[in-house]
Amino acid sequence: MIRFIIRRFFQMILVLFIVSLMVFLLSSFTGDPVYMLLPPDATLEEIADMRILLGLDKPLYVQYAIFLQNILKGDFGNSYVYNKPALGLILERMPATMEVVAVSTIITILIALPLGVFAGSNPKSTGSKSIMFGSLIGISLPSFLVGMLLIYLFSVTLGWLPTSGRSIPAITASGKKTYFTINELRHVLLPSITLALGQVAMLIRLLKAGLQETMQKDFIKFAKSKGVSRRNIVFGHALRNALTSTITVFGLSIGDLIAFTTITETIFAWPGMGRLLLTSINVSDRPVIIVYIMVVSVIFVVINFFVDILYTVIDPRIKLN
Amino acid sequence: MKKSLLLILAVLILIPLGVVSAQNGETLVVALGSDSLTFDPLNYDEEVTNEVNLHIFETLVFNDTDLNSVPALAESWEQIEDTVWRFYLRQGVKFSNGNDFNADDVVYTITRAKTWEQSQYKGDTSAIKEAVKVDDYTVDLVTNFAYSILPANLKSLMMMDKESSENADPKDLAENPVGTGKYILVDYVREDHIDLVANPNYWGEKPEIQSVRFRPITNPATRTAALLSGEVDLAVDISSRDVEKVNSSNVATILQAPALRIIYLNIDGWSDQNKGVEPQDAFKDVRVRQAIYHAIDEETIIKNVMNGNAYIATGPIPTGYNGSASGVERYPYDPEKAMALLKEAGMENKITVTLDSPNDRYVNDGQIAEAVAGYLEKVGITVNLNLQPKSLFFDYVAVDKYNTSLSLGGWYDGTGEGAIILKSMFYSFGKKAGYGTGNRGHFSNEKFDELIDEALVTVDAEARAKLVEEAAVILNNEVGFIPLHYQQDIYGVNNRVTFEPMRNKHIYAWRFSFK
Repeated sequence: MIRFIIRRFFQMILVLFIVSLMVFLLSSFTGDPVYMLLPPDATLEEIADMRILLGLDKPLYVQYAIFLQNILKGDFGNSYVYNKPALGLILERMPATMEVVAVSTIITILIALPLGVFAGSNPKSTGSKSIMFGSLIGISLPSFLVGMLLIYLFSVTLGWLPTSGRSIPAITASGKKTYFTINELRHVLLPSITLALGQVAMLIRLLKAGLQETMQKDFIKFAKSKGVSRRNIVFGHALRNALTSTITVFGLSIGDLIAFTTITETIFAWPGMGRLLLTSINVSDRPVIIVYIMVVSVIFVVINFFVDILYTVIDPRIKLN
Repeated sequence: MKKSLLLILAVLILIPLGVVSAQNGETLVVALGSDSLTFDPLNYDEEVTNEVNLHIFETLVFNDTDLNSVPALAESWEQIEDTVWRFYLRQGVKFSNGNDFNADDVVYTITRAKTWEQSQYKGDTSAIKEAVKVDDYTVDLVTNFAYSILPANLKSLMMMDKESSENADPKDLAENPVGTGKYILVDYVREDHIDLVANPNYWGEKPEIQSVRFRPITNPATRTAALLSGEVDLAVDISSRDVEKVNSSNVATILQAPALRIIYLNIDGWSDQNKGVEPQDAFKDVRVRQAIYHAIDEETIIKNVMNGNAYIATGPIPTGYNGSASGVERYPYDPEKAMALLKEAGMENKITVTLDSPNDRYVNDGQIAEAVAGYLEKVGITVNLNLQPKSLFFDYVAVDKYNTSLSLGGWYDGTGEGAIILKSMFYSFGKKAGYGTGNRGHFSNEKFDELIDEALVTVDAEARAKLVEEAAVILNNEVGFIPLHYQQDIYGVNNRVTFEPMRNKHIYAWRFSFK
């Protein structure tokens, strides 16, 4: 186990190094942040000063060397726009994203698990067919469309839920923020449902395919002939086997959600990290873009790690290494 | 398992139904198009950041609705010598931390604006040599040369408290603003909300609106939805396709006003190192420039590309600005005349030009460029369209790079002074530091430069206007650039409030009142 963790750790360092190099190169082609930061009537001296201030006057390889050197000191660089540590900016925005991803994952599991199991164990029934048809719609609708439809239905027409933002605490002199209030839950619902829709569809399809395949296996037939109850077969035997493949894909798709909720967050004016990425790309805020992608890589490595561990829980025959 | 599942589902569904929708109460909520970048007023000279900070901070000189200079922290000012402006400060003003506002704060702020490495007010204060304290409530601003429009340059330079700022970490200044303004910051979550409450110790007339929330909502459709659901009292930049929808609702009404931003073409007929046009000196002939002007049907562009949401432009200075009454008119749309002029100049079907344009900076910028290219093709000019994202475009067309001979751009100026616009946009590039920094066409005219030089030292506003107008006529006769249109500001205003917009699109909470 410890050897496994250590190996994963070194893999992660390697991944981060390669990712940082690639993003550094790519983002240097996305344009000159200086003109994004200065007013249009900026003088040539102001432009030159700003370049020196940001370190952009040096050749690219020197910039990268400085970047690496600073990382070794634990400094991931400052955002050009906010003059604050890029990593801090991203971490400051992470709870908002985690919140919406967590709620959407709960919604996904609550809806997709029963429906997927039903569709997988009764593949020929009308219910199963309509579930599969519904999931096809869910998988093909783009999130910006779903988001706007939900806003117009639930916020503008019905007036049940707020259109956007994370929460509306009363303005107080102390300015204290409270988390997980009912009010906040109302704000998180629409973006979570938007994110969940595609996830639900995908998870249903994965579960159904996995279950359907497992149900054909010999050990299920054996259990059936032994007279094991249908419920026990599905939940006790088939589901476990079907889950191993499902969990890998689902785990990675949660990673996808954390990393790239950009569109949903922008539509719902959600102050998460996906929106930060989009604003940063817009103004070529290179340090934020690079650190963002590095953070995302870490998230994926960690998710993969947990997926591997989950394997051993679901299927004890699988050993790490 | 089934039971608990049902229970959770039921809770999820009932929560939204059970809670009455949040009441805004007497809090004014404004939906902005982007977030404010900092609360350090010298770090950015950017419009959204400025409009938020101007609630918390104040300037020496401020704008009225039409951008005329009016007293704020300075009660009056006068030019006591050619190179000395004297400002008489308001007495009895306190910062939100209780400190007195006085001459030391002015000297500190101006020095910081000029010297702090991250200051974006180096340009606005470049004419100032130094700020000198005369007594506690009198400051002299010594300029490098006689400079008549200095007060107009100070209208977004916000005064900071010397005592608490001098030794503070800039990172603290960016988050904990201490100003003299009508409002105080109470809560801020980046890209979610900025909460302000009225300053109880404000020196002047106290605003009706006691608490304000700014919400950056970048997606235009969401802004409209937030307006229609009654969540916000004002939404900026309503997309033109939503105008009808908002007006037909009984929640909100649309308010439209001409914007200050002009969209125009720079055409390089003056430099010798220009690239992007064959033959290289094609635009040197004024007849060719006139032909291009004649070839463009701007009215149709406004109708079809801008959906009618723009105002035709005749020159670079917005109506109402000092120096805007030059009376110049557009070269009318006349493709035949354009072809005749090209023929006269010996350039019939001979010109190949690259039209550079951003495609994500101004409203419909890429489509406007496409339309212009189409019109030029019609009169026999071959056009290569080079559309780039703004992050690449502005570097590519930078005035010192000479990469472009024909480019589409936009300009915004909130000073109210035509002289400042002409100085930045069309003064010969390279002659004086800080002049002609936006002159991508490298327009250069001796007489024009002289007029601007003179205008910048003329204190009398009317005399200055005359000089600027004369310069604008030269610019038009020489076709120094081709104006297209002014954009339109479109606000959505909740029916529960009244709101008076500013010419510069700044939204100030004290210009609202509840009905």
